[in-house]
Amino acid sequence: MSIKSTDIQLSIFSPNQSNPEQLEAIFVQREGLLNRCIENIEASAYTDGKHHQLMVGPRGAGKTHLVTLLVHRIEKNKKLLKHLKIAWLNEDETCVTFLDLLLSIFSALQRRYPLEYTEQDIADIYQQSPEQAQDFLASYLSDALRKNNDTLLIIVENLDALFESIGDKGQKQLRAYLQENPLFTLFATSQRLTDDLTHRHDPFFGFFQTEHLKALSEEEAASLVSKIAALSNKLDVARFLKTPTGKARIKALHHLSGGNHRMYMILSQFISRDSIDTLVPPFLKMVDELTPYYQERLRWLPPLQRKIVEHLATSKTTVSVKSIASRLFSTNQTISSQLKELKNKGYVKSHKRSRESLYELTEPLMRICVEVKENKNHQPIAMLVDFIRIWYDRDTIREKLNFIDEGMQEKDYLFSAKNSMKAINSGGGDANEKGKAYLDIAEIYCYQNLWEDFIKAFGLGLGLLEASSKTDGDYAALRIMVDYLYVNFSRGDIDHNKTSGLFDVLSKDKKALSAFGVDLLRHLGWQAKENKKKHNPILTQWVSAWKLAANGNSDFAITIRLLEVGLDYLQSHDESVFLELVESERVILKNAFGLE
Amino acid sequence: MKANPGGRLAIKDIIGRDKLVEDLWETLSRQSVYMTAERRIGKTHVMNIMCQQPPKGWLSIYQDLEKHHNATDFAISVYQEVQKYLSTKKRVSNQAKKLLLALGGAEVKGVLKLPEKADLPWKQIFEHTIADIVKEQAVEDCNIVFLWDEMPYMLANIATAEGEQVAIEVLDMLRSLRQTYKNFRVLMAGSVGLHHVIGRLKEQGYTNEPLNDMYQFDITTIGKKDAEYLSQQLLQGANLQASDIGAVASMIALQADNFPFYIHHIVREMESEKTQSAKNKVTAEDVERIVLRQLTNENDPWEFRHYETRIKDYYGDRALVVKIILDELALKKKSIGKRVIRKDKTTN
Repeated sequence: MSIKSTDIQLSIFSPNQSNPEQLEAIFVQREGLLNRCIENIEASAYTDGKHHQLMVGPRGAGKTHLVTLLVHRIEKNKKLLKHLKIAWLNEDETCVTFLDLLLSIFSALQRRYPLEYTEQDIADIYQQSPEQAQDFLASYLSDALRKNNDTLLIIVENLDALFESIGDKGQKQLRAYLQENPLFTLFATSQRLTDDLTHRHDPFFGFFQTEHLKALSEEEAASLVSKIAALSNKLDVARFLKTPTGKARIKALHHLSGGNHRMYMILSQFISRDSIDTLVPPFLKMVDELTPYYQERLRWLPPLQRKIVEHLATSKTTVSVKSIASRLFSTNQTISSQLKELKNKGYVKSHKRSRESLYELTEPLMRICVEVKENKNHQPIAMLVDFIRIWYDRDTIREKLNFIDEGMQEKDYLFSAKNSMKAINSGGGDANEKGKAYLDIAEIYCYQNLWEDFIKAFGLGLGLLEASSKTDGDYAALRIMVDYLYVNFSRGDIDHNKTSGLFDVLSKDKKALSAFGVDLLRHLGWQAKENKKKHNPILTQWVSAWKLAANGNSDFAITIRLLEVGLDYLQSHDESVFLELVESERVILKNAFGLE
Repeated sequence: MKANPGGRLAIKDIIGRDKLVEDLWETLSRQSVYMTAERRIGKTHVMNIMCQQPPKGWLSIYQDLEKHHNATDFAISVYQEVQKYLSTKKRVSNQAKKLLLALGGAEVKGVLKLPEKADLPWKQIFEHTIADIVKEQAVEDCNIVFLWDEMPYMLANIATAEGEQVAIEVLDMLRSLRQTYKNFRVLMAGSVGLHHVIGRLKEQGYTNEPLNDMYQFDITTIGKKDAEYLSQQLLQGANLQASDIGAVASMIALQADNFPFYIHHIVREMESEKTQSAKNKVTAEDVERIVLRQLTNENDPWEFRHYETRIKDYYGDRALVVKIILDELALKKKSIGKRVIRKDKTTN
């Protein structure tokens, strides 16, 4: 997969195949880190001290991007190159012994310095035993470096995989070689810190300066996407990203991608002015494209681990060992050890709740892709994406709220109603305008608690919006209605029949239903803050009323789940209740309560 | 000087080990030594100083032994190292080389192509090699010391690959050589305590005391002043500014318990924070905050959990009692006697 335009080609899965200058143009967040890494390599080349550096981050965290730029910048430093050679090992080369690793280093040197390192130099080793060949190569490399007073920068991607394949014996041989020959500086990447690197009894304990690569923040993500847009000459997109809606879109993408560099690279292709209110279709397209990639990663796993991942992907909450064991007809002990391995491989993460550990998938997108594969349809994902999109887009709808904040007067409403009636009564006109006018009228009826009139105007308004191309802004009235509905509910003016009636009207328009769900949740968060997080029994009745009204409607499932966990939190003030939700939902709820 | 936790330091950047190195040489003038210390304390750096800056009358050869998995590998690697020195002198007959030629090795353009390693008489090769270098050094009235790093790893490897008996033979042979040649010394060190490996061998019926002619050195952290000096040097190397750099350096030394590895780590963290923020001055509070963050980090990046898990390894069934005693000691501000602990725990 790559981003292509007339002059650029950025490879998303293999940044080392991209033009380094273009990678420079879209580099964000890690300028300081890269400079420090290069300073350490310079210190290694110019002095007897040797630095060994390790960058740790999950797939797509930008490790290869960083390595490519590191090499690119070193290659431009002629002074440094007088003292430094570079051996950038092939990412997928298989090394099972120390000899393999030495051969791999030699091959990398030969590719880069064909005149200095020739096949002829080592031709004899193929007539020797492996031990003799290893001794020969080890001496050959160290002698060549000593002779030229060079330090060798060895770049290893996926150090965790290399260490696993060369095993304890190979690791000890490598460490001894590095200790006896202070001529090397290692720059490595790894998806995770394995026992080989962290256990005190293993050879490479404490050997590397380790840097955990951070996920992108919203601002950094916005900067990355803007840079990609600018590089692709999509200046309108670059401008759009600075608008409130563009920023809201970045927030939504941030939520879904978990701050992963690669995901932004992919998603950046779909952000455009044309897709302001339709994030779902491009997102689902991306999910379709990524699904084979995640399926392939699942195929690498042993069957039981694969089953665990699939189970976690379809679970609506974080899951305990006991629960997984019973679902998969296995023992707690077996599942526990498999989860430990999956955690080491970076597939799952755990959270402590009192004495038990609850597990979930590390990458939100993996969860989504597996769920798509399991469900064979996009409906639940579409719902989630739409919910998240509306959640963040709601931040941009300020006008109505400001109106409320300033203190609304009857006369303002009358003025508004007069204008709305004018719009409705004018012959012809835009259906959307009329729809919005009806919703405004509905809002007034809601405020006045004239229920029959409210439902009628509301239904007409949604019907007209349904018939035209609508935007999130068209549903702004819902947010205010939720406040009025709650006030009327508190007074006992709204019963179950009324909430069910309103829900029937809402459920005819999925977008309205999502927007209403978001507004209910925001209202709960606002109530929590107003009540200083104390539990209010009316809120429990309020949530129950909507659950009853929804009557198991799957389009409202996320909303009900979030509201119920939110209530639990208000009763217990224990943040561990959020673990009843998966991460993508947990973040939203914490956000509502001002905990994120 | 740049912070470099875990990496190789230039000799001039190794701080606070001068007195230790002096003591080691003084002891080596009388007997061989084995060094014990926890991991990352800086044993290898001490050996690097001794290898690169031996006093007059000494030849020192450094070898990291963890790569060897059998006694023959060990013997051949010592032979190869010794040849690097003998080849420049050529004053004594090279008995080890003659032996290897007799065993099927071939000399091509002055380089000995070794015979296949399987079934080589490793003891004989070893003894001849040591005899050759000892005699060569004796000509100039010089001593030889082998600085053997990660000796316990190698012994454990040999015991696993060739059986405990071979590991025992290696230890016995080395002891015998030390007693035979008065100008031959060994300095052994390792990340795993040598006593653990010997304990394992004793379980198999080994009754000798292979180290009883050697002096044991426990390497500890560096002194307070050295730790503060190192901290200050690293702060300057990282270009970190402070209103009172001495106070920051003192706090680093204090928080790291004068452990150079952690001093390097703390400064590196401070440097990393500097690149991520616009803040250009560091304070003693920053040091405390960084250390606390590492102590409470779920991923335990400095592996402090080891100090708890090792209790089980070391004390087995008595681990719980040990933990209770340690908890009690940790809560007291002053040192206390056994009776007080016993009384406290009985009361509770």
